[in-house]
Amino acid sequence: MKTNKIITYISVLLLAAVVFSCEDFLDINPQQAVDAEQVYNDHNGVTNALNGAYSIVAGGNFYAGTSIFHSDLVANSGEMNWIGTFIQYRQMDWKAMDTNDGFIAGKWNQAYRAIDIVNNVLDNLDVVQEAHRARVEGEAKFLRGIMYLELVRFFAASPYVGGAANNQDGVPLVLSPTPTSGITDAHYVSRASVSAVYDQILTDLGSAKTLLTAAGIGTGAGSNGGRATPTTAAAFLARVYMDMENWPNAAAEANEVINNLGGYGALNDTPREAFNNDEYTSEDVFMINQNVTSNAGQANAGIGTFFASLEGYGRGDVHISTSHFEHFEEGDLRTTLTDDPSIIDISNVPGMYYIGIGTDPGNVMSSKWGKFDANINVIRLAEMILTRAEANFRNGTAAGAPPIADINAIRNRAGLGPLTPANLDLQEIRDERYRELCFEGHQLHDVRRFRENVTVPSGADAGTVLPWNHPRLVLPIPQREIDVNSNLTQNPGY
Amino acid sequence: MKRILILMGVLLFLGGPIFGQQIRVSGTVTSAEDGSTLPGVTVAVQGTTLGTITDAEGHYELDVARDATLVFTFIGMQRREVPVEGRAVINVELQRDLALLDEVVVVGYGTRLKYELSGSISSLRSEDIAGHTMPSFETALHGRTAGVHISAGSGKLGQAVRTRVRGSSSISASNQPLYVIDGIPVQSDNLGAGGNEPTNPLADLNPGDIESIEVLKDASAAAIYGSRASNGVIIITTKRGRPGATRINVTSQYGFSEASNKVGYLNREQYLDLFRTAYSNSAGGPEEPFVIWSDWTDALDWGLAYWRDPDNPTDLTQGPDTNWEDQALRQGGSRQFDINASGGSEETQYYVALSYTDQEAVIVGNSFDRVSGRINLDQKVSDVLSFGMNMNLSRSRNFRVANDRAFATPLQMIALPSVQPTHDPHTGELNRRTVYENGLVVREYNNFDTEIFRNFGNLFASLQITPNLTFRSEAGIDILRQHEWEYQGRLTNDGGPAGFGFDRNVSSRVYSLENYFTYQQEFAEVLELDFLLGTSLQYADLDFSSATGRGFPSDEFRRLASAAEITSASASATGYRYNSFFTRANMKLLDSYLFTLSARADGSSRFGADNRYGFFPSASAAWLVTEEDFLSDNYYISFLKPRVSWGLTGNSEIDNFAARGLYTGSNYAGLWGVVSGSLPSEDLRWESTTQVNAGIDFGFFNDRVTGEIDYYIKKTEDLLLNVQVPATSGYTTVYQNVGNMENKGWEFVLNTVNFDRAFRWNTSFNIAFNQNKVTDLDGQIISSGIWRVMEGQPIGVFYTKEYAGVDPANGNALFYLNEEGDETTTSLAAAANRIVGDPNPDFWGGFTNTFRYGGFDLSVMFQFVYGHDIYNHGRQWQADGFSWFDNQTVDFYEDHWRQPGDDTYYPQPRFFLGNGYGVSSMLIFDASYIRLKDLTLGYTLPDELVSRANLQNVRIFLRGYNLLTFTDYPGWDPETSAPDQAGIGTQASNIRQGWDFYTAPQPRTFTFGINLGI
Repeated sequence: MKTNKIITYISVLLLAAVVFSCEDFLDINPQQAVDAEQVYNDHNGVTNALNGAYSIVAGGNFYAGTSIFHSDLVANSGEMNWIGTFIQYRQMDWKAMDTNDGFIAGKWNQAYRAIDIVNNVLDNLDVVQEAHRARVEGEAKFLRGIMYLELVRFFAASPYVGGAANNQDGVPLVLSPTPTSGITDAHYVSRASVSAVYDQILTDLGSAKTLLTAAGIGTGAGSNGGRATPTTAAAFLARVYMDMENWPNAAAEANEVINNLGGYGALNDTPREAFNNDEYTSEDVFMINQNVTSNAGQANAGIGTFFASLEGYGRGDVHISTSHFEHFEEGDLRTTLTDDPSIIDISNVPGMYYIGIGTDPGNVMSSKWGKFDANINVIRLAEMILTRAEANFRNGTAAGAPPIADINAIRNRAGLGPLTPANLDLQEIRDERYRELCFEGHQLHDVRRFRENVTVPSGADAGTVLPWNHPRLVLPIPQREIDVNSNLTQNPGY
Repeated sequence: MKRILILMGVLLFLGGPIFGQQIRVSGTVTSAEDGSTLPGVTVAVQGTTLGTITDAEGHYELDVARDATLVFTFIGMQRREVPVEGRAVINVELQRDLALLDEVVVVGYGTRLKYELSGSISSLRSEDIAGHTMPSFETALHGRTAGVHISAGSGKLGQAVRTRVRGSSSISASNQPLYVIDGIPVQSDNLGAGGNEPTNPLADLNPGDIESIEVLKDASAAAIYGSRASNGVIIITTKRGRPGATRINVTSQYGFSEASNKVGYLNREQYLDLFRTAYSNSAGGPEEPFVIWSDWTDALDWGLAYWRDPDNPTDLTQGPDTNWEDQALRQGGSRQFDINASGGSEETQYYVALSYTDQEAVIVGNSFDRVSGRINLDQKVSDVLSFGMNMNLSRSRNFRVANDRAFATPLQMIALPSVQPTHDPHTGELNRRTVYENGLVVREYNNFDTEIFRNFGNLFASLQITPNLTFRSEAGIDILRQHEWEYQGRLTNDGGPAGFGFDRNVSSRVYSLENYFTYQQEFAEVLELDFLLGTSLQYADLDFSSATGRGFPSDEFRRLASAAEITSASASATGYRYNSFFTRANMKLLDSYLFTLSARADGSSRFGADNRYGFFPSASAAWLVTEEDFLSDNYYISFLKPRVSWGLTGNSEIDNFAARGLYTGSNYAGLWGVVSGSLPSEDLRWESTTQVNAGIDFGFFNDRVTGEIDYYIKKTEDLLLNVQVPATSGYTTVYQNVGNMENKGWEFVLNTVNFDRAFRWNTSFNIAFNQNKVTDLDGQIISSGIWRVMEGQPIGVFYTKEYAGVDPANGNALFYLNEEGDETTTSLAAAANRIVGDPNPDFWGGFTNTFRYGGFDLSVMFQFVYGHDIYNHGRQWQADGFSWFDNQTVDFYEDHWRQPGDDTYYPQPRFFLGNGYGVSSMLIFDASYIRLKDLTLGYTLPDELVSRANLQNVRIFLRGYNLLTFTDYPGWDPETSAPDQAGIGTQASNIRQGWDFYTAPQPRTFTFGINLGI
């Protein structure tokens, strides 16, 4: 009797247990991710990956942040006062970068992450719909080209020198995707020479320009909404040729960009109008699109985080010093200062500078980066005009326009009278470039091209003068990378 | 799975009913000391799972075989075995047990007499936890359980607590133990929003409901939990009813608290003095950077608003003098009320409890409250079937403040110069022009509220299939619903210009189903066998959703419905599964040889498809020497049990989909896409830890002196490691089974009964030594900040520039230039990185004395930790000689270089230029300490007085926590080890031990309470 009862109970329990048991109990899938193998199987997946690569390029490690800021801070001779608490940036101001600097590592790691994604895209073009194939290939090569340009500009053992062999260490060139089967010995790469990296950049950007043209991508300002166009490829090529001191090609590429945008008339009416815009303006060649849910401006690497000192935005870490203003003539619209404690956000600031409010009030701040979700100007028409002027001047040519016309176009927009050709020399072009493009990430590259010195503005070595090619103006290869990969050599001085 | 069920069925019938000749035995159990009857004594039939409990009058009745042996056990009494020998009435007297060697301990899937254990388990009883007024119970383990090291991260309430059982056994997977409450593994991971300190889901359990806590330390004890046992298993058993009249217990406590330590920062006079010095040290030299300032007061005017007296701006002796440390650290308080009722009949027993606690932290703006209710019910249906339920429902609320690294965290107020006022002298409003954000503004306008509803419990049924065989089934749930919402006011830096709002919901559901058979049999009085076989299924589903918004009409509108712009929104889900089979055999041979074999096979969804299952066996043996003839009834050596164990345990606490190569969604300003996330690791399998333990339990002088000594070697192989790969591949890490780690250590426990008359004095001492070493990493170096994991070193050593002290000639900070340490440099950048410290302690333990006389009881508990270093990261700005305007510590002021020949710790202060500014071993300090952790003085009113009021008992008590701390550590709290924001179980938290970044000290608490038994 008792036994029967037990069997009944047990049966009930066993029945209950069977309900809970199933063969694939342990097979569950993530809900916010897909397996890598599934990504590159079809057109949609490949284009998704291409878009994903843009999202990395748009991050704070590049044009929305440290591509701009690292350049200006490493080459800062005191025009900016870095007063923030981030030790990494303070060290950069001191020209005493640390090999463990997380922001430097972020640039390195994320550049190669984007490169791996575009390498995958390029490896799987066969599944892309034919109508889109040239565009996808062109955009992928564009992204790879500009990522290698960022890498080689900051991490090369020493900068490219026009006419030299440039056999010095550049960065590793990785042109094929990392397979899902994992890391092999082949992934322990060594550094390619600077010339090899520049050659690859030229190949990629040149090919991108051709492919995007063939794909029928428009050439006007913002014609592809923050993505690659034949014009943006040409603009980056102009930068590359300037680095390489190939003046004729630099002038030609810049001229093409200027013509595509419609010449001087495309410049905004005032200097201030070029910045903090949510939409493309007529003078924007390439911008990083940002919006309220997708921006680097709220991150610790975002450019506005340091430059702004407004209500609820910005750490106010970069004060503009009086020595900066010594570069300007009287009446230059690019020196206008808004001193009004009632400003709240950058839309209330008509000047190119303002007296900061918020976190660290009372200091002179630049208005260029004042809105966390505004688009980030990467290449403006003004840069291309100045590039054409410089390249033509150095080359003794007038491709597109004589240098004096270019310089006067920029001066005119700044509210200044024209110069005469007799007043124009290379230094004047250099100064105009500084006045127009300061705090937009050009300083390190311009210092190198003009063979200038950098004076350490603060820290234990304050006052020390470093020549343009000094190792302390080069970023270290991240220590983690050196530790992981014995085939990599560290830059001199680290 | 199905096969196992069939197997169970087969086993069931093999086990078929065996009923011998039965008689009914009854009797009364009394205390030998005073003759009082003892309710609730467990009366078990040896070698079977049969048994009963004495009723309110100490009476029991039981049907047993004529030749059976009854075993009487009761907490605090010596165990007695009485052969039935055909008698119908057996009255038993129990002796008080001095050393509690006969106590029952809870092991996984069952209980066992402590003296029969062959593994290593530490236990805490309810009286050790009673009156604990910290939000979660783990902090009570520190100093009371040998080998368990607890670091309450900070004085922030409800924050995750770092718990290490016998050291760290993993680098990338969690090092936190598995928590099992009443048989159910529960959610103990941080579920709080990123960007703030991780939270502690264990704070949802009312410590007052805990009957016992067992820490399974060695492999023999823990391996029954297989793949999740490498970090030890902490088993919490809640209180249950006993037959007898209803007992109502009421405890009410009230207390206040203050910071256990204050560091001391410069007052106005000191600030101005040091600043003037620092300025003049920098000015005038070749590196003169100060073209914009004419003198030091000009620099202060430039840098600091309102530092002068508004009425008399030229008189520098007058003006603001704010003690910002006192603004950040306030007097806290606590209230706690507990009421519980327990009792029942032979058939039905219950424990019902309600608890309310309300605590204010010593940190401004931080408080915690919890309401918790519990019903534990046991019902006996028949001799065959019983069932029951444990159900806990709690609501905890945590009013949080910003994370330690945010300017908005209260403790960062100490960075503000004392010469800046709290309030704007012109408006009388809070000063918004402090050099960094004024934390009082944040406190005034911000809130970060977390509310958690937690329901854990289980339903269980038990079948007595035969006198020897039982089947038990437990279905458990652990449901956690968490809501967090935050508002940052328009006048705060992060909330400007028009307010910032955040709202987040988390739902965590963990279900489990455990089924197991227990078979007990005695064979020919030679072998007692206790056999376990079972299965376990567990699955967890988690959902998260959150949104942020900006632009609120005013600070009265704090919810996202009023936000003009939703700036982000997200929803996600994850989960994991376990499918397990386990077995164990406990054997006792010839009354003196003990053996335990156990094994578990675990399958987890987290691993590669080919390596889903792992197998975790263990074995142990012990010899009850004192049961042998030559030592039995020996007064001097009253108990002696050497024991050894070996076993394999696992660790699977990694990301839920760690084995997969995944792409996640991306957003480029509205353009959707995917980005690479991880490389696949299809062969990923369990991290396995082999642990060998040798120990001895002893009792001398009739158990007046008892103790345990253990030595263990824990070797972890196939570490689940985030292996570093070249970033040029597009990835920086891949999960692989690479590397080995080792923990070796000694544990000593010594308990003595010093006096045992009218005056009773017991002493308990424990100390544990653990040596952690990473033995193999396949050449990897894992860095996280200044922490490193390197072969041949303990986990997370500090690897940075070594401070060589001050050059007495000129006050320069010097650093060692090279690894050898024979050359120095003033350039921090040029100095070599070296191993400069170790956050892992050499040894730690506790020392408790309890005294009892008449109605008085006094308990004094010290805890100590020796040899761990802390990286006082905040000192980079608090003792940097004014590299900016941050206020400085008083010890910097007193111990910095002033003139040639000075031998000081800190260099010459140099405004703005810095002198030694940066991260170096200057910031690393030995944090060894001894702390008077817990002092309790109680008085129990005499019975005659109490009974006149119709009460059972009345006790009043005073309790103090963290009353005294002896340490050389110059920061707030030498116990600090703030977890990484990413969570307590993450690689970053594993490696970054001993991190003090404006981390709040623990409170010093004084509590008064009264306990009534009705």
